Amino acid sequence: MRPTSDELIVGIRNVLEDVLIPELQSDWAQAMGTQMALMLQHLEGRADREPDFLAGENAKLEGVLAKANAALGDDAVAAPAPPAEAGLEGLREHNEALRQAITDAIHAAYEQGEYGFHDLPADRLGITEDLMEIATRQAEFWQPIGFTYPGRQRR
Amino acid sequence: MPYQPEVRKDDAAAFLSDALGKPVQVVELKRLASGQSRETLVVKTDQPDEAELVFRIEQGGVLGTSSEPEFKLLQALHGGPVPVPKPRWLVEDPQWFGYPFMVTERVEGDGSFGYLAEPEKAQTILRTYIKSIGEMHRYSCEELGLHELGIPKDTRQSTLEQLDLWTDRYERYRYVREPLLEEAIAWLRRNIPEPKRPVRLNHGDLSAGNFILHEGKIMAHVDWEWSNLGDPMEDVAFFAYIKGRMFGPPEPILDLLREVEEFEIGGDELLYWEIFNYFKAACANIATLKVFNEGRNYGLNMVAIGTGGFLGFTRRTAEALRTASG
Repeated sequence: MRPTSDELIVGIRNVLEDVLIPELQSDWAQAMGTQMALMLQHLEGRADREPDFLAGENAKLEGVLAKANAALGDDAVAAPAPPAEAGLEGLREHNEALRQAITDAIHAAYEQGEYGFHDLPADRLGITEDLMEIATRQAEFWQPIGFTYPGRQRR
Repeated sequence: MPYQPEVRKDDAAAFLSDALGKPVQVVELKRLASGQSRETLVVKTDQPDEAELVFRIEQGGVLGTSSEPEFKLLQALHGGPVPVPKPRWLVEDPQWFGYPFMVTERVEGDGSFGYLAEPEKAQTILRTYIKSIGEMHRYSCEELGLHELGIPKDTRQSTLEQLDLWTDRYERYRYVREPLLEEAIAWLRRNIPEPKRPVRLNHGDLSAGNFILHEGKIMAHVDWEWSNLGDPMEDVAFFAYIKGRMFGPPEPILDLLREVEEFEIGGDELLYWEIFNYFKAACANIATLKVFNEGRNYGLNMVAIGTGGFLGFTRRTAEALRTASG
């Protein structure tokens, strides 16, 4: 059906930026207007992006957990079962369970031996780079929400 | 309640009439756009003998703090060597603004930081501010009259208390676990620096916007909601690595701080507090997301802080930890 959700979002953002924000009087109202424009920019295409993003992140987290468990040996932590429910909610629950398991693995590594000041469990488990990459992708997902406004990107 | 200037004017007038026991009109009310954790209103009344007032209204747990400890600290500090605004009322009753709030008298001067656009002026103000930070850390908690607030026995105990406090906020406000931050929490608990100096007053949020300047003098330190009695290295690292970046890179700021502080600044200890402060900022930022999602505050800046801000500080925490391990 037309207009699509994204076409409506773009239309709302255009009116917000061209018609409403210039009329706003106070600094606070202008700041909120600018934040609204950012939110709308983020929402464009999110419904399509989010399931793929979460599925990709979950696959990456499963790999991280497998790597951590291989390093932990006998102290390996339980890997969560695949989501029982299909769809976004199932992906979210699985994501939460995987993050919990990886946290447990980090604590298990700490319990395995002596650690000095310049010594970290994620490094010993060999999962640091993967976790940093996951965090970087998370930050990218939330673009352009942030403290700086990159300027409008009209379609 | 959303912020609506005319409604706020009526609310403030109703509260002041009740508090002062006579009819009070608000002739001017201005919301400060800066400041994320409180709705901050500057209020001028029709009362000739009444100072301009600053209302700081909680926003449903934004940045994970409440007004009471800050108000009690201001009561203890006011009139002493560390300049602060005069506290007037602490109000827990949500009937006036929907949330608890505190009121102080407005201090003459300017709390904005437009001077940052003028590098020479900014450096002069930076030196003045850093001198006042050194003075703040020089007084014992007893000299500042803070004994009733409960002084930790040493900096190890105070650091542990701060870790508990911020970890609790992370646990209360997070949606999912962030393994990189969880690793940092475990690391911070295992590597608390040995006590080397007395417990001191930490402002907790030293920043270009958190002091009032008048004719080149610091008239008051404001926004004490992250304050604590602890290791003053927390303040040093916070300012140098986080908010001081508004003035410039950390190293020159650390050099200035070394000139005014009575303790050695550097080494693993400084690195520890750099990591602690990134962790603290991440925990504070995640709190905003839940208060937004639960409708307790729907300022859209809450989303920016709770996503981009939280992730940014999580990454900085992890990167600084990698410095520690490298």
